Amino acid sequence: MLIAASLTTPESFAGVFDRHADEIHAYAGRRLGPEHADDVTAETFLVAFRKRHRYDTSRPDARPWLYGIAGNLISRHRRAEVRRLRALARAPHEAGSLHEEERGAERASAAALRPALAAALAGLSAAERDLLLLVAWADLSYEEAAEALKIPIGTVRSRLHRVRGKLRRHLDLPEENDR
Amino acid sequence: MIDEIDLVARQRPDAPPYSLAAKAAARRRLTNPQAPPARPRRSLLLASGTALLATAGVAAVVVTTAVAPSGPQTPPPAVSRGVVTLPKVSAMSAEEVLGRAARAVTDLAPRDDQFIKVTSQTMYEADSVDENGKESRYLYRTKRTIWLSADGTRDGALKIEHLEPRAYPGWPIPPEAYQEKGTEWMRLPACNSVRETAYTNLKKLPTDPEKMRAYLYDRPHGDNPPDSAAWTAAGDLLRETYMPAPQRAALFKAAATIPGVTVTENAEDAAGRTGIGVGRVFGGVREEIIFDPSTYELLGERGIVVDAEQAKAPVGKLVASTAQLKITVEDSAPAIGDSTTGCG
Repeated sequence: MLIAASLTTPESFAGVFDRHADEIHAYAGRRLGPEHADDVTAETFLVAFRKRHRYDTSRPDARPWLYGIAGNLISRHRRAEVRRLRALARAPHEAGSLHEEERGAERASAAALRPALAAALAGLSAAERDLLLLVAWADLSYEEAAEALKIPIGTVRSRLHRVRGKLRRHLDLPEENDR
Repeated sequence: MIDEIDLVARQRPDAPPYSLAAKAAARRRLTNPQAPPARPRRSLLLASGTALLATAGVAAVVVTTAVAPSGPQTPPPAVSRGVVTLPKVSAMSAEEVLGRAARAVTDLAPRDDQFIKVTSQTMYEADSVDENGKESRYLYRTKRTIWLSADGTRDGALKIEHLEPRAYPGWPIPPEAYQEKGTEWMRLPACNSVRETAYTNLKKLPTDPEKMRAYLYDRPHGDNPPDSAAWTAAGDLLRETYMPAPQRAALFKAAATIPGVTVTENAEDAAGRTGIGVGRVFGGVREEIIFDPSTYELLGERGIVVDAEQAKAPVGKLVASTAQLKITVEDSAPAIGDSTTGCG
Protein backbone atom coordinates (compact mmCIF):
# COMPACT_ATOMS: atom_id res chain seq x y z
CA MET A 1 0.00 0.00 0.00
CA LEU A 2 1.47 3.11 -1.15
CA ILE A 3 0.54 6.23 0.53
CA ALA A 4 3.71 8.17 0.67
CA ALA A 5 3.22 9.75 -2.69
CA SER A 6 -0.50 10.22 -2.55
CA LEU A 7 -0.67 11.96 0.77
CA THR A 8 0.87 15.15 -0.31
CA THR A 9 -1.16 15.35 -3.47
CA PRO A 10 -4.61 16.64 -2.69
CA GLU A 11 -6.57 14.86 -5.36
CA SER A 12 -5.45 11.50 -4.21
CA PHE A 13 -6.41 12.32 -0.67
CA ALA A 14 -9.82 10.84 -1.33
CA GLY A 15 -7.91 7.60 -1.90
CA VAL A 16 -6.51 7.82 1.60
CA PHE A 17 -10.05 8.22 2.87
CA ASP A 18 -11.27 5.25 0.86
CA ARG A 19 -8.49 3.08 2.17
CA HIS A 20 -8.71 3.95 5.84
CA ALA A 21 -12.13 5.40 6.67
CA ASP A 22 -13.63 2.07 7.68
CA GLU A 23 -10.92 1.17 10.14
CA ILE A 24 -10.84 4.62 11.70
CA HIS A 25 -14.62 4.47 12.04
CA ALA A 26 -14.41 1.03 13.61
CA TYR A 27 -11.82 2.23 16.11
CA ALA A 28 -13.79 5.33 17.05
CA GLY A 29 -16.94 3.23 17.34
CA ARG A 30 -15.28 0.67 19.57
CA ARG A 31 -14.04 3.35 21.89
CA LEU A 32 -16.90 5.80 21.94
CA GLY A 33 -19.89 3.87 20.70
CA PRO A 34 -21.90 4.51 17.55
CA GLU A 35 -23.03 8.02 18.48
CA HIS A 36 -19.63 9.64 18.02
CA ALA A 37 -18.02 7.39 15.41
CA ASP A 38 -19.31 9.24 12.32
CA ASP A 39 -18.21 12.66 13.56
CA VAL A 40 -14.82 11.55 14.77
CA THR A 41 -14.13 9.83 11.44
CA ALA A 42 -15.17 12.79 9.30
CA GLU A 43 -13.19 15.18 11.46
CA THR A 44 -10.11 12.93 11.44
CA PHE A 45 -9.86 13.11 7.67
CA LEU A 46 -10.57 16.83 7.52
CA VAL A 47 -7.79 17.48 10.01
CA ALA A 48 -5.51 15.12 8.11
CA PHE A 49 -6.29 16.87 4.85
CA ARG A 50 -5.47 20.25 6.31
CA LYS A 51 -2.31 18.98 7.87
CA ARG A 52 -1.18 16.85 5.00
CA HIS A 53 2.01 18.84 4.65
CA ARG A 54 2.99 17.89 8.15
CA TYR A 55 2.86 14.30 7.15
CA ASP A 56 6.33 13.08 6.43
CA THR A 57 6.48 11.47 3.06
CA SER A 58 9.09 9.17 4.53
CA ARG A 59 6.31 7.30 6.22
CA PRO A 60 4.57 5.23 3.60
CA ASP A 61 1.81 3.96 5.86
CA ALA A 62 -0.64 6.65 6.90
CA ARG A 63 -2.31 4.57 9.60
CA PRO A 64 -0.26 5.69 12.60
CA TRP A 65 -0.68 9.29 11.59
CA LEU A 66 -4.45 8.93 11.11
CA TYR A 67 -4.84 7.03 14.38
CA GLY A 68 -2.87 9.76 16.11
CA ILE A 69 -5.31 12.38 14.84
CA ALA A 70 -8.32 10.21 15.66
CA GLY A 71 -6.93 9.63 19.15
CA ASN A 72 -6.70 13.37 19.75
CA LEU A 73 -10.31 13.77 18.70
CA ILE A 74 -11.43 10.80 20.77
CA SER A 75 -9.74 12.32 23.79
CA ARG A 76 -12.12 15.24 23.56
CA HIS A 77 -14.83 12.73 24.33
CA ARG A 78 -12.97 11.24 27.24
CA ARG A 79 -15.81 11.75 29.62
CA ALA A 80 -18.20 10.03 27.23
CA GLU A 81 -15.79 7.13 26.92
CA VAL A 82 -15.35 6.68 30.64
CA ARG A 83 -19.07 7.00 31.20
CA ARG A 84 -19.64 4.31 28.60
CA LEU A 85 -17.08 2.00 30.16
CA ARG A 86 -18.51 2.48 33.65
CA ALA A 87 -21.99 1.74 32.37
CA LEU A 88 -20.73 -1.42 30.76
CA ALA A 89 -18.89 -2.34 33.93
CA ARG A 90 -22.12 -2.14 35.90
CA ALA A 91 -24.02 -4.27 33.39
CA PRO A 92 -25.13 -7.49 34.98
CA HIS A 93 -23.19 -10.51 33.95
CA GLU A 94 -25.40 -12.27 31.46
CA ALA A 95 -25.95 -15.90 31.84
CA GLY A 96 -24.79 -16.67 28.36
CA SER A 97 -21.69 -14.54 28.35
CA LEU A 98 -19.30 -17.15 29.57
CA HIS A 99 -20.38 -19.41 26.82
CA GLU A 100 -19.95 -16.62 24.30
CA GLU A 101 -16.43 -15.99 25.48
CA GLU A 102 -15.51 -19.56 25.02
CA ARG A 103 -16.36 -19.25 21.39
CA GLY A 104 -13.72 -16.70 20.88
CA ALA A 105 -13.02 -13.11 20.26
CA GLU A 106 -15.29 -12.72 17.28
CA ARG A 107 -18.26 -13.38 19.48
CA ALA A 108 -17.61 -10.47 21.72
CA SER A 109 -19.90 -7.58 21.01
CA ALA A 110 -19.97 -4.06 22.30
CA ALA A 111 -22.67 -4.98 24.75
CA ALA A 112 -20.72 -8.00 25.86
CA LEU A 113 -17.47 -6.19 26.60
CA ARG A 114 -16.94 -8.01 29.80
CA PRO A 115 -17.84 -5.83 32.74
CA ALA A 116 -14.57 -6.57 34.50
CA LEU A 117 -12.61 -5.53 31.44
CA ALA A 118 -14.70 -2.38 31.03
CA ALA A 119 -13.95 -1.51 34.64
CA ALA A 120 -10.28 -2.19 34.11
CA LEU A 121 -10.16 0.02 31.05
CA ALA A 122 -12.01 2.80 32.85
CA GLY A 123 -9.39 2.57 35.59
CA LEU A 124 -6.48 3.31 33.27
CA SER A 125 -5.20 6.80 32.66
CA ALA A 126 -6.22 8.29 29.32
CA ALA A 127 -2.67 7.98 28.03
CA GLU A 128 -2.50 4.33 29.05
CA ARG A 129 -5.84 3.56 27.48
CA ASP A 130 -4.88 5.32 24.24
CA LEU A 131 -1.78 3.21 23.92
CA LEU A 132 -3.33 -0.08 24.97
CA LEU A 133 -6.25 0.23 22.60
CA LEU A 134 -4.10 1.26 19.65
CA VAL A 135 -2.17 -1.94 20.12
CA ALA A 136 -5.02 -4.24 21.14
CA TRP A 137 -7.90 -2.91 19.06
CA ALA A 138 -6.27 -1.13 16.13
CA ASP A 139 -3.48 -3.70 15.70
CA LEU A 140 -0.73 -1.11 15.59
CA SER A 141 2.78 -2.38 16.25
CA TYR A 142 4.73 -0.79 19.12
CA GLU A 143 6.62 1.27 16.57
CA GLU A 144 3.42 2.44 14.92
CA ALA A 145 1.85 3.26 18.26
CA ALA A 146 4.94 5.28 19.16
CA GLU A 147 4.58 7.18 15.91
CA ALA A 148 0.84 7.72 16.39
CA LEU A 149 1.26 9.03 19.93
CA LYS A 150 4.50 10.85 19.18
CA ILE A 151 6.25 9.19 22.08
CA PRO A 152 9.53 7.27 22.11
CA ILE A 153 9.41 3.53 21.66
CA GLY A 154 10.91 3.11 25.13
CA THR A 155 7.94 4.94 26.60
CA VAL A 156 5.60 2.60 24.73
CA ARG A 157 7.27 -0.40 26.30
CA SER A 158 7.38 0.97 29.83
CA ARG A 159 3.82 2.29 29.64
CA LEU A 160 2.52 -1.07 28.38
CA HIS A 161 4.39 -2.82 31.14
CA ARG A 162 2.55 -0.68 33.65
CA VAL A 163 -0.73 -1.32 31.87
CA ARG A 164 -0.21 -5.09 32.05
CA GLY A 165 0.28 -4.82 35.78
CA LYS A 166 -2.85 -2.74 36.26
CA LEU A 167 -4.91 -5.10 34.13
CA ARG A 168 -3.63 -8.09 36.06
CA ARG A 169 -4.77 -6.53 39.28
CA HIS A 170 -8.11 -5.30 37.93
CA LEU A 171 -8.92 -8.55 36.22
CA ASP A 172 -7.72 -10.58 39.13
CA LEU A 173 -5.25 -12.54 37.08
CA PRO A 174 -2.37 -14.39 38.69
CA GLU A 175 0.78 -12.34 39.09
CA GLU A 176 2.87 -14.99 37.42
CA ASN A 177 1.77 -16.24 34.08
CA ASP A 178 0.70 -19.83 34.28
CA ARG A 179 -0.30 -22.41 31.77
CA MET B 1 0.11 -18.19 29.21
CA ILE B 2 -2.13 -15.25 29.70
CA ASP B 3 -1.09 -12.08 28.01
CA GLU B 4 -3.10 -9.17 29.33
CA ILE B 5 -2.93 -7.34 26.05
CA ASP B 6 -4.12 -10.36 24.09
CA LEU B 7 -6.94 -10.60 26.53
CA VAL B 8 -8.02 -7.07 25.75
CA ALA B 9 -7.57 -7.73 22.04
CA ARG B 10 -9.72 -10.83 22.20
CA GLN B 11 -12.50 -8.83 23.77
CA ARG B 12 -12.42 -6.19 21.11
CA PRO B 13 -16.04 -5.05 20.79
CA ASP B 14 -17.77 -5.24 17.44
CA ALA B 15 -17.51 -2.03 15.53
CA PRO B 16 -20.76 -0.21 14.87
CA PRO B 17 -21.69 -0.21 11.19
CA TYR B 18 -20.56 2.78 9.12
CA SER B 19 -23.65 3.87 7.24
CA LEU B 20 -23.13 4.52 3.55
CA ALA B 21 -24.78 7.91 3.92
CA ALA B 22 -22.48 9.07 6.72
CA LYS B 23 -19.44 7.77 4.87
CA ALA B 24 -20.42 9.48 1.64
CA ALA B 25 -21.00 12.75 3.50
CA ALA B 26 -17.56 12.58 5.12
CA ARG B 27 -15.91 11.88 1.78
CA ARG B 28 -17.83 14.71 0.12
CA ARG B 29 -16.56 17.19 2.66
CA LEU B 30 -13.04 16.26 1.68
CA THR B 31 -13.41 16.40 -2.03
CA ASN B 32 -16.17 18.85 -2.73
CA PRO B 33 -15.86 22.48 -1.83
CA GLN B 34 -19.60 22.94 -2.15
CA ALA B 35 -20.36 20.47 0.57
CA PRO B 36 -21.66 22.00 3.78
CA PRO B 37 -18.67 23.54 5.46
CA ALA B 38 -17.53 22.78 8.91
CA ARG B 39 -16.41 25.68 11.05
CA PRO B 40 -14.08 27.88 9.10
CA ARG B 41 -10.59 26.92 9.83
CA ARG B 42 -7.26 27.92 8.67
CA SER B 43 -5.43 25.81 6.21
CA LEU B 44 -2.33 27.60 5.57
CA LEU B 45 -0.74 28.16 2.34
CA LEU B 46 2.16 27.67 4.49
CA ALA B 47 0.72 24.59 5.68
CA SER B 48 3.49 22.73 7.21
CA GLY B 49 6.18 20.29 7.69
CA THR B 50 6.70 18.51 4.55
CA ALA B 51 6.43 21.69 3.26
CA LEU B 52 8.77 24.29 2.91
CA LEU B 53 8.92 26.47 0.44
CA ALA B 54 10.86 25.31 -2.19
CA THR B 55 10.57 26.28 -5.56
CA ALA B 56 13.17 27.99 -6.92
CA GLY B 57 12.36 31.08 -7.81
CA VAL B 58 13.58 32.73 -10.32
CA ALA B 59 16.90 33.68 -11.23
CA ALA B 60 18.61 31.91 -8.64
CA VAL B 61 18.20 28.51 -8.68
CA VAL B 62 21.52 27.03 -8.30
CA VAL B 63 22.35 29.74 -6.14
CA THR B 64 22.53 29.84 -2.52
CA THR B 65 20.62 32.78 -1.76
CA ALA B 66 22.73 35.43 -0.57
CA VAL B 67 21.64 35.15 2.86
CA ALA B 68 21.64 32.84 5.54
CA PRO B 69 24.74 31.16 6.54
CA SER B 70 22.80 28.77 8.59
CA GLY B 71 25.10 25.89 8.87
CA PRO B 72 24.34 23.35 11.51
CA GLN B 73 26.46 25.18 14.01
CA THR B 74 25.20 28.60 13.24
CA PRO B 75 22.28 29.75 15.25
CA PRO B 76 19.18 30.06 13.15
CA PRO B 77 18.75 33.39 11.54
CA ALA B 78 16.73 35.64 13.70
CA VAL B 79 13.15 36.02 12.81
CA SER B 80 11.52 39.06 14.12
CA ARG B 81 9.54 37.63 16.90
CA GLY B 82 7.73 40.61 18.02
CA VAL B 83 5.13 42.59 16.37
CA VAL B 84 5.88 42.96 12.78
CA THR B 85 4.50 46.11 11.41
CA LEU B 86 1.26 45.30 9.83
CA PRO B 87 1.58 44.66 6.18
CA LYS B 88 0.76 47.72 4.22
CA VAL B 89 -0.68 47.06 0.84
CA SER B 90 1.68 48.24 -1.83
CA ALA B 91 0.86 50.29 -4.85
CA MET B 92 2.30 47.49 -6.95
CA SER B 93 -0.27 45.04 -8.15
CA ALA B 94 -0.02 41.32 -7.65
CA GLU B 95 -0.16 41.02 -11.39
CA GLU B 96 2.90 43.23 -11.75
CA VAL B 97 4.97 41.45 -9.12
CA LEU B 98 4.01 37.97 -10.22
CA GLY B 99 4.46 38.98 -13.85
CA ARG B 100 8.03 40.01 -13.11
CA ALA B 101 8.57 36.82 -11.18
CA ALA B 102 7.26 34.88 -14.16
CA ARG B 103 9.69 36.62 -16.53
CA ALA B 104 12.61 35.99 -14.21
CA VAL B 105 12.34 32.24 -13.99
CA THR B 106 15.26 30.07 -14.96
CA ASP B 107 15.49 26.34 -15.15
CA LEU B 108 17.90 23.92 -13.58
CA ALA B 109 16.79 21.31 -16.09
CA PRO B 110 17.69 18.24 -14.07
CA ARG B 111 18.04 14.95 -15.94
CA ASP B 112 15.51 12.26 -15.12
CA ASP B 113 18.07 10.26 -13.17
CA GLN B 114 19.20 13.19 -11.03
CA PHE B 115 17.97 14.60 -7.73
CA ILE B 116 16.75 18.00 -6.70
CA LYS B 117 18.19 19.01 -3.36
CA VAL B 118 16.34 21.70 -1.43
CA THR B 119 17.48 23.23 1.84
CA SER B 120 15.05 25.32 3.77
CA GLN B 121 14.14 26.62 7.14
CA THR B 122 10.59 26.55 8.42
CA MET B 123 8.38 27.64 11.24
CA TYR B 124 4.80 26.47 11.28
CA GLU B 125 1.99 26.16 13.75
CA ALA B 126 1.46 22.91 15.61
CA ASP B 127 -1.56 22.30 17.72
CA SER B 128 -2.70 19.51 19.91
CA VAL B 129 -5.36 18.64 22.41
CA ASP B 130 -4.39 16.93 25.62
CA GLU B 131 -6.31 14.31 27.49
CA ASN B 132 -8.39 16.90 29.29
CA GLY B 133 -9.42 18.50 26.04
CA LYS B 134 -7.14 21.47 26.56
CA GLU B 135 -5.81 22.90 23.34
CA SER B 136 -2.23 23.99 23.03
CA ARG B 137 -0.42 25.72 20.20
CA TYR B 138 3.19 26.45 19.44
CA LEU B 139 5.42 27.16 16.51
CA TYR B 140 7.76 24.33 15.59
CA ARG B 141 10.89 25.12 13.69
CA THR B 142 13.13 22.99 11.56
CA LYS B 143 15.85 23.14 9.02
CA ARG B 144 15.18 20.65 6.27
CA THR B 145 17.24 19.24 3.45
CA ILE B 146 15.44 17.03 0.99
CA TRP B 147 16.70 15.02 -1.99
CA LEU B 148 13.98 14.23 -4.49
CA SER B 149 14.36 11.98 -7.51
CA ALA B 150 13.58 14.04 -10.62
CA ASP B 151 11.53 11.30 -12.24
CA GLY B 152 10.30 9.91 -8.93
CA THR B 153 11.67 6.42 -9.49
CA ARG B 154 14.57 6.54 -7.05
CA ASP B 155 14.61 6.68 -3.26
CA GLY B 156 15.06 10.16 -1.91
CA ALA B 157 16.27 11.33 1.48
CA LEU B 158 15.20 13.86 4.08
CA LYS B 159 17.23 15.39 6.86
CA ILE B 160 15.36 17.30 9.54
CA GLU B 161 17.19 19.37 12.11
CA HIS B 162 14.86 20.40 14.89
CA LEU B 163 15.28 23.96 16.09
CA GLU B 164 14.01 25.53 19.31
CA PRO B 165 10.24 25.93 19.22
CA ARG B 166 8.69 29.37 19.66
CA ALA B 167 5.47 30.39 21.28
CA TYR B 168 2.37 30.76 19.21
CA PRO B 169 1.76 34.40 20.03
CA GLY B 170 -0.08 34.69 23.33
CA TRP B 171 0.05 30.95 24.09
CA PRO B 172 2.40 29.14 26.49
CA ILE B 173 4.77 26.65 24.88
CA PRO B 174 3.59 23.16 25.90
CA PRO B 175 6.17 20.62 27.14
CA GLU B 176 5.70 18.37 24.10
CA ALA B 177 7.09 21.13 21.92
CA TYR B 178 10.53 20.22 23.24
CA GLN B 179 10.25 16.52 22.56
CA GLU B 180 11.47 16.74 19.01
CA LYS B 181 15.11 17.60 18.97
CA GLY B 182 18.36 16.75 17.30
CA THR B 183 18.67 15.63 13.71
CA GLU B 184 16.69 12.92 11.96
CA TRP B 185 17.50 11.25 8.67
CA MET B 186 14.80 9.54 6.74
CA ARG B 187 14.65 7.55 3.58
CA LEU B 188 11.94 8.57 1.14
CA PRO B 189 11.09 5.35 -0.62
CA ALA B 190 9.98 5.50 -4.25
CA CYS B 191 7.75 2.47 -3.89
CA ASN B 192 6.95 2.07 -7.58
CA SER B 193 4.78 5.10 -7.61
CA VAL B 194 5.83 8.43 -8.96
CA ARG B 195 4.95 11.45 -6.82
CA GLU B 196 2.62 13.85 -8.47
CA THR B 197 5.06 16.64 -7.73
CA ALA B 198 8.03 14.82 -9.25
CA TYR B 199 9.81 17.09 -11.71
CA THR B 200 8.83 14.91 -14.66
CA ASN B 201 5.17 15.17 -13.66
CA LEU B 202 5.31 18.91 -13.07
CA LYS B 203 6.62 19.19 -16.62
CA LYS B 204 3.26 17.88 -17.79
CA LEU B 205 1.27 20.68 -16.13
CA PRO B 206 -0.13 23.46 -18.34
CA THR B 207 2.19 26.22 -19.51
CA ASP B 208 -0.76 28.42 -20.35
CA PRO B 209 -1.80 30.67 -17.42
CA GLU B 210 -5.53 30.18 -18.07
CA LYS B 211 -5.19 26.44 -18.01
CA MET B 212 -2.92 26.60 -14.98
CA ARG B 213 -5.58 28.67 -13.25
CA ALA B 214 -8.20 26.07 -14.08
CA TYR B 215 -5.87 23.44 -12.70
CA LEU B 216 -5.49 25.34 -9.40
CA TYR B 217 -9.25 25.71 -9.01
CA ASP B 218 -9.78 22.11 -9.91
CA ARG B 219 -7.82 20.79 -6.96
CA PRO B 220 -9.80 19.20 -4.13
CA HIS B 221 -10.76 21.92 -1.69
CA GLY B 222 -11.88 20.17 1.39
CA ASP B 223 -14.20 22.60 3.09
CA ASN B 224 -12.18 25.67 2.17
CA PRO B 225 -13.50 28.44 -0.08
CA PRO B 226 -12.38 28.04 -3.72
CA ASP B 227 -10.14 31.13 -3.89
CA SER B 228 -8.32 30.20 -0.68
CA ALA B 229 -7.94 26.66 -1.87
CA ALA B 230 -6.53 27.85 -5.21
CA TRP B 231 -3.96 29.97 -3.40
CA THR B 232 -3.09 26.98 -1.23
CA ALA B 233 -2.74 24.83 -4.36
CA ALA B 234 -0.33 27.38 -5.82
CA GLY B 235 1.80 27.21 -2.68
CA ASP B 236 1.70 23.42 -2.77
CA LEU B 237 3.36 23.47 -6.17
CA LEU B 238 6.16 25.71 -4.91
CA ARG B 239 7.08 23.99 -1.69
CA GLU B 240 9.94 21.50 -1.71
CA THR B 241 9.43 20.80 -5.37
CA TYR B 242 11.07 22.07 -8.47
CA MET B 243 8.70 23.64 -10.95
CA PRO B 244 10.08 23.69 -14.50
CA ALA B 245 10.44 27.23 -15.82
CA PRO B 246 7.47 27.31 -18.26
CA GLN B 247 5.08 25.90 -15.65
CA ARG B 248 6.44 28.18 -12.95
CA ALA B 249 5.88 31.24 -15.13
CA ALA B 250 2.32 30.09 -15.85
CA LEU B 251 1.74 29.46 -12.15
CA PHE B 252 2.81 32.97 -11.13
CA LYS B 253 0.59 34.54 -13.79
CA ALA B 254 -2.33 32.34 -12.78
CA ALA B 255 -1.86 33.07 -9.07
CA ALA B 256 -2.05 36.80 -9.79
CA THR B 257 -5.64 36.33 -10.99
CA ILE B 258 -6.91 34.77 -7.77
CA PRO B 259 -9.28 37.27 -6.13
CA GLY B 260 -7.98 38.88 -2.97
CA VAL B 261 -4.28 38.54 -3.79
CA THR B 262 -2.40 41.72 -2.92
CA VAL B 263 1.17 42.90 -2.50
CA THR B 264 3.01 44.12 0.58
CA GLU B 265 6.49 45.49 0.82
CA ASN B 266 9.09 44.72 3.44
CA ALA B 267 8.05 41.15 4.03
CA GLU B 268 10.76 39.29 5.94
CA ASP B 269 11.44 35.59 5.44
CA ALA B 270 12.73 33.09 8.02
CA ALA B 271 16.30 33.91 7.07
CA GLY B 272 15.79 37.59 7.76
CA ARG B 273 15.76 38.61 4.12
CA THR B 274 13.34 41.31 3.15
CA GLY B 275 11.29 41.06 0.01
CA ILE B 276 7.99 41.69 -1.63
CA GLY B 277 5.11 39.71 -0.20
CA VAL B 278 2.29 38.51 -2.39
CA GLY B 279 -0.59 36.94 -0.55
CA ARG B 280 -4.16 36.78 0.56
CA VAL B 281 -5.97 36.60 3.84
CA PHE B 282 -7.62 33.46 5.12
CA GLY B 283 -8.72 32.60 8.63
CA GLY B 284 -7.41 35.85 10.02
CA VAL B 285 -3.92 35.26 8.66
CA ARG B 286 -2.35 36.85 5.62
CA GLU B 287 -0.47 34.06 3.81
CA GLU B 288 2.32 35.42 1.70
CA ILE B 289 4.91 34.23 -0.76
CA ILE B 290 7.98 36.43 -0.56
CA PHE B 291 10.05 37.44 -3.59
CA ASP B 292 13.43 39.06 -3.81
CA PRO B 293 12.79 42.73 -4.66
CA SER B 294 15.45 42.88 -7.36
CA THR B 295 15.81 39.39 -8.82
CA TYR B 296 12.25 38.22 -8.09
CA GLU B 297 13.66 34.99 -6.87
CA LEU B 298 11.37 33.18 -4.45
CA LEU B 299 12.67 33.67 -0.91
CA GLY B 300 10.14 32.11 1.42
CA GLU B 301 6.69 32.33 2.89
CA ARG B 302 5.17 33.92 5.94
CA GLY B 303 1.86 34.01 7.77
CA ILE B 304 1.00 37.16 9.65
CA VAL B 305 -2.06 37.75 11.82
CA VAL B 306 -4.51 40.34 10.54
CA ASP B 307 -7.58 39.30 12.55
CA ALA B 308 -6.89 38.47 16.19
CA GLU B 309 -10.17 36.75 16.86
CA GLN B 310 -9.95 34.34 13.97
CA ALA B 311 -6.26 33.61 14.36
CA LYS B 312 -6.44 33.52 18.17
CA ALA B 313 -3.28 35.62 18.27
CA PRO B 314 -2.60 39.35 18.31
CA VAL B 315 -2.66 41.29 15.06
CA GLY B 316 0.75 41.76 13.47
CA LYS B 317 2.32 38.62 14.92
CA LEU B 318 4.04 36.00 12.83
CA VAL B 319 2.49 32.53 12.88
CA ALA B 320 4.44 31.02 10.00
CA SER B 321 7.76 31.80 8.41
CA THR B 322 9.94 29.92 5.97
CA ALA B 323 13.01 30.50 3.85
CA GLN B 324 14.24 28.52 0.92
CA LEU B 325 17.95 28.58 1.36
CA LYS B 326 19.35 26.62 -1.52
CA ILE B 327 18.30 24.51 -4.47
CA THR B 328 20.75 22.40 -6.46
CA VAL B 329 20.78 19.41 -8.74
CA GLU B 330 22.71 16.39 -7.53
CA ASP B 331 23.64 13.09 -9.10
CA SER B 332 22.73 11.04 -6.07
CA ALA B 333 20.92 11.14 -2.75
CA PRO B 334 22.47 9.93 0.51
CA ALA B 335 21.72 6.27 1.09
CA ILE B 336 19.99 5.88 4.42
CA GLY B 337 19.70 2.65 6.28
CA ASP B 338 16.24 3.19 7.65
CA SER B 339 14.54 -0.08 8.38
CA THR B 340 11.39 1.60 9.62
CA THR B 341 10.53 2.90 6.20
CA GLY B 342 9.13 0.55 3.66
CA CYS B 343 6.45 0.37 1.08
CA GLY B 344 3.94 -1.28 3.38
